[in-house]
Parts: sequence; C-alpha cells; structure tokens
Amino acid sequence: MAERRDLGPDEAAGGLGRVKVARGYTLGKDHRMKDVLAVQAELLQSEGVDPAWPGFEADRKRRKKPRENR
Amino acid sequence: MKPLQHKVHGASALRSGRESVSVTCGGMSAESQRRAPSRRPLLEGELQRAQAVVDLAWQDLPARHRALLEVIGAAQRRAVDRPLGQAVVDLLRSAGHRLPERDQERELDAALGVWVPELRVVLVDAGHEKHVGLADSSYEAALAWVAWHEWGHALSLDRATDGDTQAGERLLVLAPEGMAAIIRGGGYRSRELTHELVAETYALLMARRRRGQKGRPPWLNVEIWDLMKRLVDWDE
Repeated sequence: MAERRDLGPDEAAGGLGRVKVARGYTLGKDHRMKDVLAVQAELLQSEGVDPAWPGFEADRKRRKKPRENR
Repeated sequence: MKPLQHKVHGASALRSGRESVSVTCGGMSAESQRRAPSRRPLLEGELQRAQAVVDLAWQDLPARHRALLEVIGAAQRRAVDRPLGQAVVDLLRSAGHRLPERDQERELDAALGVWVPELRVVLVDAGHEKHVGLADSSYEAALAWVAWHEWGHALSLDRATDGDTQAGERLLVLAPEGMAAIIRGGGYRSRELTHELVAETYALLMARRRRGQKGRPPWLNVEIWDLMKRLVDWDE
C-alpha cells in the first residue's frame, strides 16, 4: 500500500502528538481555476465534445418539473 | 461552520474582484489574519449556493462510488469560506483530535479542497482567491471539479501500490500536457504525483461523464486509463 498523504500519526514528528495533514488540492502561483477549466475545455473540444458546462440546475429543475400528458 | 468575516458587496463581487466593505465579526487571531491569503469573503447566500453545488457534485457521482465513499469516510462534504488549514484545525480541535504542525496548516491554507479522513469530510474552499474572475457557470464547474478531485483521492488512496506511487514522474509524462503542467505547478512532492494525476483525471472523467461521454477518451494514455480502472474502479 502506498504512503498515505493524508491524516495519520506523524512518525517524523518524533511523537510530539501532532497529526500529518494533506496539503490538499493546490494550484501554482501561475495557475488559477480558469486555467484548469481551460485545459478541460481543450481536451473535450479535441474529441468533439461541447466544453460548455451543462450545469446542475437544469437537471434539478427537470427532475422537479411535473410530468406532462399524464 | 460560520465564516469569521463577512463583507458587504454584490452577488458577483467575489469573482469580479469588485471593491467591498469589510465587517469583521471577531474570532480570527492577528496571526491568522497575517496568514490568510488575499480573498474576498462570500455572502451567506453565495456560500449556501456553493454548498448546493458541492452536494449536486456528490449526487452526480456513480452510485457505486458514492457507496464506497460512504464506507471510506468521504461522503460528508462542506463548502467553507476560509483558508482550509484554519478550517481543518478548528474542526480537529472541536472533535478532540490532535493538531497538525503550523507549517502544514499554512500549506493547507493555500488549498482549494481537501479530504480529511479523521473527520470523514471533504472540504471545499468556495471563497478561494483562485476562483476570482470566473463567470457563474464556470464557478459552478470549478467547485464541482475540486470536490470530484478530492473524491478521486479518497477512492484511490488505499488501492495505490508503492509501485504506483513511485511511477508518478513517468506517468506525468504520459498525461495530457496541460494537465501535467497544472499538476507540476502545484509543487507536489514526487511521491504525491501519481495521487494527484489520478485525482485530476477522475475530475476530468466526471466532467466528461457529466456531458454524456463514456469510455476511454482519445486523449488519455492507455496506461493512465488502466490505472483509473484499477485504482478508482472506473468502468464507464
């Protein structure tokens, strides 16, 4: 099993009673979330997929909408 | 979890970077204020909206992944509007856990999301400065991305072998160039690269699935695709 990157006893701390915490999802100083989304869009476009975010709200509203012609 | 500071501004001020008026509600130490990255706190309604998006991202996961994440301890999710190091320390303290070193807390302050196994929760920093400038739809996509990334970690972590971890540098060369650049830019340690690649690919596959696409994307190397099938049980 690979080394856990998340919480667990910090052996390296020499038993000082601290826990080791993951560093989490971090972007470099030259990157922002728009760059992440741009990479995603470029890859999707390369296979002919519309990169526009389809959203969650549309689905939620569609699920809530009463059926017609019942 | 209540944000320690509120600012009065328009609904899209955070992402447009508009000036705002600060109203400090107390509770944040001088040291915390020095450590906090530049950010413009969300309005309460915006934070609720962010929480709703993270919940919808959870609902969007394949049902068997949700079931596994329930067992693993990553089903709880919370959008917060404060640096994650501070948020995690406060949650650990209130739950009676030991605390991390200060430098780890500071490192985590820069993160957009994190899975905390001891607390069985995924935290997403909805007010992170890296979100500034996003339109509403992109902001929603970004929040979902961060949450999916963290669930990718949770699904894969215990399945990765030492060999997988050691192959990080080599696997990154096989990854799409833009994705590899984003991961390299994060300054991760060598032994973290495979985990980050898997988590980032998981978010990408979820974003693709959201658009009705299944199977191996033509831009994804076969070895990484096989890794995803093995580590996160991706079979769509």
